Amino acid sequence: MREGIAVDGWLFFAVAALLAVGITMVLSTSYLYSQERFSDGTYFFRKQLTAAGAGLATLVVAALLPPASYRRFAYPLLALTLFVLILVLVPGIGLSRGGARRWLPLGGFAFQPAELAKISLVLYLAHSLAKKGEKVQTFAMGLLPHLIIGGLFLGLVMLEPDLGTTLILGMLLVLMLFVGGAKFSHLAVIGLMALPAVALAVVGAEYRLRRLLIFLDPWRDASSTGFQIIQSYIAFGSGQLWGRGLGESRQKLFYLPEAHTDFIFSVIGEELGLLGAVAVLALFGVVVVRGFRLVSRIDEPFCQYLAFGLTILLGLQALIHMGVVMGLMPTKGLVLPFISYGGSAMVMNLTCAGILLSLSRGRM
Amino acid sequence: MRRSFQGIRFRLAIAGLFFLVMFLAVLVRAFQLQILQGEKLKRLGERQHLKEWIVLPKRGTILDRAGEPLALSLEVQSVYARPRRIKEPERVAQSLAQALGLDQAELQQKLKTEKPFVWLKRQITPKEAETIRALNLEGVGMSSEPNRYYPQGQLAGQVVGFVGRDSQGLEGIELYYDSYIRGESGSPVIERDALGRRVLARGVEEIQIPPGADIHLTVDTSIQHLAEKQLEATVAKYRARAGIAVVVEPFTGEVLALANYPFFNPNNFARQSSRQWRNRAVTDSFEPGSTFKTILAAAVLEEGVVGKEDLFYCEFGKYSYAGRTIHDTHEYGWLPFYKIIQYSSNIGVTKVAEKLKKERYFKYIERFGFGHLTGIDMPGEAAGMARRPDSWSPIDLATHAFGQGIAVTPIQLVMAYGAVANGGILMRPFVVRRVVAPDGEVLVANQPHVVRRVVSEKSARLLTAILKGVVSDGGTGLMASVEGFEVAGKTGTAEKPDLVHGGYSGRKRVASFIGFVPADDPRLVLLVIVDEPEGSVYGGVVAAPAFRNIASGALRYLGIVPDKPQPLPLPAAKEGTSVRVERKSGNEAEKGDGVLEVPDFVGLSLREAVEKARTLKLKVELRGNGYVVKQSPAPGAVWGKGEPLTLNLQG
Repeated sequence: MREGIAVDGWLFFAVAALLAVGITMVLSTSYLYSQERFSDGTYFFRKQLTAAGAGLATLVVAALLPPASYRRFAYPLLALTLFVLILVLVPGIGLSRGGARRWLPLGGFAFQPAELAKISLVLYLAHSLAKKGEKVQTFAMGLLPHLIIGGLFLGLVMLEPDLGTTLILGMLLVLMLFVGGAKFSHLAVIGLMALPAVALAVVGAEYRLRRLLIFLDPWRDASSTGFQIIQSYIAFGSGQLWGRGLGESRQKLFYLPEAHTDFIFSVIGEELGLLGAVAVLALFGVVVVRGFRLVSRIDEPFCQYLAFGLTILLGLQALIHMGVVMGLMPTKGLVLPFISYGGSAMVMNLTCAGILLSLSRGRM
Repeated sequence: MRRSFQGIRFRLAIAGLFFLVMFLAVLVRAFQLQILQGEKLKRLGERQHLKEWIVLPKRGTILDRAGEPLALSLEVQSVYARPRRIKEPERVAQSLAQALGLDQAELQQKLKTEKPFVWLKRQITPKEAETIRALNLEGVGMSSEPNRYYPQGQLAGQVVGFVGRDSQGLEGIELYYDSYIRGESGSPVIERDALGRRVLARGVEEIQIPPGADIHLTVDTSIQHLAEKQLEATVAKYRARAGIAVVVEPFTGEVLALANYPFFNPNNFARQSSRQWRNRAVTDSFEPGSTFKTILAAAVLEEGVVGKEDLFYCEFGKYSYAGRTIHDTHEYGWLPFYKIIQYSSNIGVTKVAEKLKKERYFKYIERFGFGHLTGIDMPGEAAGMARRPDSWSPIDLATHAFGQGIAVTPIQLVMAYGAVANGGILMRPFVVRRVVAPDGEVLVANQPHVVRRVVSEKSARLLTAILKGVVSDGGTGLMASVEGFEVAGKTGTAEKPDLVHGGYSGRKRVASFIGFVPADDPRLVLLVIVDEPEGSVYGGVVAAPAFRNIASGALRYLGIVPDKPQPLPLPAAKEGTSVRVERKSGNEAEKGDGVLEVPDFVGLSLREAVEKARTLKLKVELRGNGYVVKQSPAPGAVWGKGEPLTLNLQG
C-alpha cells in the first residue's frame, strides 16, 4: 500500500522549488509594471498565486488518477483541443492582443488553447503510438495519421500566430515519432518536406525575416529592432556571478519587454547572477533526468510514451525559453514553465507534472 | 505488439543526448554572457540607464556684483512617451500633434519605435502642459526639468553664456564655471523609472540633490547697461559692423562691464549665429593701431632712451624707411616726444622705436602681456600674436611701433593700459568674484592677482601725463574728455588687414579709444572699439565720444567726485556729469541756525552714500551692506546738523 502511494520525491521537489522561484520572480518583475498600469503592484502576483493554487489542485488530482486511465482522455481531448484552436481564430470570440489572437475568454480568465494543445498532442501521440506499435514503421498506416493530426495542430497555432508554441509542438512531434520507432528515412523525408514550409513561413512574413536577421546580428540595429535581445544580454551581463540581488534588476524597468513572462529568465540572470541562473537550469535538469529515468523504468508502451512526451514537453519549453533570451535561437514569446506569469501555462504545466508523478507511482 | 527494447533504448539515449547538448549550450552561454562579457555588458547597461534617467540638480544662479540675477533656473515640463504602452499610435499622434504643434507623421514614427522611452518635446509652455494633462493619454507623460532663464535678456549675454538642453554649460561663465554651477559633483546619481519616480535605491526619497553653487560676478549691470547702450548708439550712428566695450578696475583687474555688439540673448541661443555667442573681447584678436604706441612709449621711458621733451624730426608727413614710405595724417616738422604721442605721429614713433631697437622693444611687448593669455576666467581666450624679434624684417620695427603686424585681444590691451594706470603693475583680469555653495560655503574667492611689475611707478606717471595730453586741446582724443575729470588715453585708427588679397584693405578701419579716468587716481580703464565705421573712421571721432559717455555715467554711478575744479560746461557736453552732484548738494540748503532738511540717502549704494556724506560734511552711521533701504530721521525732516543720521543698508 505504501509503495502504491509513493511518487518521485526528486521530481516533486524540483517542481515545487521552481514554483517557489517563479512566484517570487513574478512579484519582482511585475511589481512596478502593474503598479503603474493598475495602481496595484501585486495585481499580477495575486493572479499568479491563484493560478498556482489551481494548478496545484490539478496536479494532485492528476497524480491521484491511475496512469492507465489517461488513455481514455486521448481522443475526447483531441477533439476539444481542435475545437478551441479553431474557435480562438474566430474574430469576436478569440481575444486579440498585440496583433495575435491567442486567448479565449473563460469566465473572467483568458484561456490559451495553445497551452492545452501541448498536453493534448502528447496524450494523443502516446496513445496512438502505443496502439500502432511496429506499424509506425510504415508510412501510410503508421506515420501519416500522426503527421496529419500534428500538422493540423501546428497549422492552427501558427495561424494565431504563435510561432514559439508551433516550434515546441513541432519538436515534440518529431521527437515522439522518433522514440516511437519511426524510420530514420521517413523522418528525414519529413524534415526535407518541412524545410520549404519553414522557409516560406519565415520569408513570407517580413517581421519574421527581420527577426531572423536580428538573431544573426543583433548589434547591427541595436537601437530599434535588435533592442530586446540586447537588453536581455545586458541583463545577464549585469548579473555577473552573484547578481544584483533580488528585486534589484534595472533591466526590468521597461527596458525588457514582458519581463514577467517572455524574459523572466533574463531577470533571474540579472538579479540572482550566474549562480541563480544555473540553479534554475539545474532544477529543470532534475525534472528531465528524473523524467528519463522514469521512462526507462516503464515497460507499458502508452505510459512510457506519455512519460517521455511530458518530460520533453517541460524540458523543451524551458530550454527554448532560455535559449531565446540568451540569443541562442530566434523567435520569442515563450514562457518558462512553473516560473513565468501566465495562468493557462501554469495550470497545464502543473498538470503535466501531476501526470508524471502519477506515472512514477510505485516505480521508484 | 512486442516492441524492440533494444531499439527504444537506443532512441531514448539519442533523445537524452539531444537534451544534454541543449543544457550544456545554455550553461556555456550563461557563463559567456555573465562572466566573460559581464563587465562589458554591465557598463553598456549603466550608460543607457544614466543617459535616460539622470536627475538634473538645480543649476546655481549667476548674479552681478550688486546681487542682480543674470541667470536663473526654473522648472519646466517636458513631454515623453512610452511607445510600447501606446495602443493606438495614430490617434495619439494626432492629438499630440495638435496640442504641441508638432508634425504628426514624425510623432507617429516616434510612437512606433521599440524604445521604452522617447522625448516628444522638451520644455513646453505651461499652456501646453495643461493641454497634455487634460488629454490624459496612456503612455504619454511629463516630467519636470530645470530650465535656464536669463531675466536680463541680452545684457552681458556673451559674458554669461548659455546652457544646452540638458543643462550643460556651453559658453561664457555657464561653461567656464560649469562644474560649480551644475552642482553634480559629490551628489549621488539617482535612477528613476520613466515616470520620474525614484525607484531603485532604498530610501532615496530622503536624498536631496543639492543645487549648484551661485556665481557672483564682478560685472555691474548698471555699468554694463550703460556700456551696451552707448556702444549700440555708436555702432548705429556710424553704420559699423560691430563694436566692443570693456570696463575694468585698474587696481584689481575686476571686469565691471564687457559688451560685444551685436548683442546676444542667451534665452534663445539656437536662433542666433555662433558669431554672436562669441565673447570677442576675449576670443578674438585684432591689429591695435595707434593705441599700441603707448607700449612703445612706456618702454622708452622705462629704459630711459627718450625723454619727454626730446625732439624728433617728423619729415613733414612722408618718411622712407626700410624700403617703404610711412605717412602721417598731418605734416609735422620737429616734435617733442610727448607731442608725437599726443598727435599720434607714425613717423615720430618709428624714429623713437629706432632708438630702442627691436629686442628691447619686444621685451616690453611681452611684459605687457601681449602674445600670452591674460588668464581671465572665461572660455576660449586667445593669446593674440606677437612675433619674436628674430623673425622681424626691418620694417616690422616701424609697423609694431604704430600697432600693425601684431594681433592683440581687447582684454590684453585693457590690462596693459591698466598697468600704466595703476603705476606699472600688470593685473590678471577676472569676472567672477565668488562662487558660493548653497550652504553658504565660499568655494572660490578670486582675489586681485598681480602678474608682474611692467614699468616703474615713475615711468607710469610720466606716461600718464603724456596720455593726458592726448585728451586735451590739440590732442587726437579731445572728444573723450569727461567733464570734471582728467582723462588719460589714446586714440586708434587701424587699417584692417585684407584677408583675401593680403596687405591692407583701402577703406576699412577699426576705430578705437582706450583710456583711464580719473587720470591720477584711476578708477576705470575703458576701451571702446568700433569695427568698420562709415562716415568717419577716426578713433578720436567715432570711439572717443562713446568713451566719454560711458566713463562719465560710470563715474557718476560709482559716486566718484570730480577731481578738478568745475570748468564751464564744454560745448560738446550733453548731460553734465556734475549736474546731479551739484543739485544734490544744493538741495539740502541750510535753513539757518545749523538746522537742515534731512538729505535723502535711500537707494544709494554704500559707496555713493559715503561719498554724499563726505560732500555734505555729515556724520552718518552705517548699518549693513549694499544699498540704503531705510534712514532715520526720514528724508525731508527738519534736523539739527549735529544729530546722528543712521542708514540701514541691505543687499
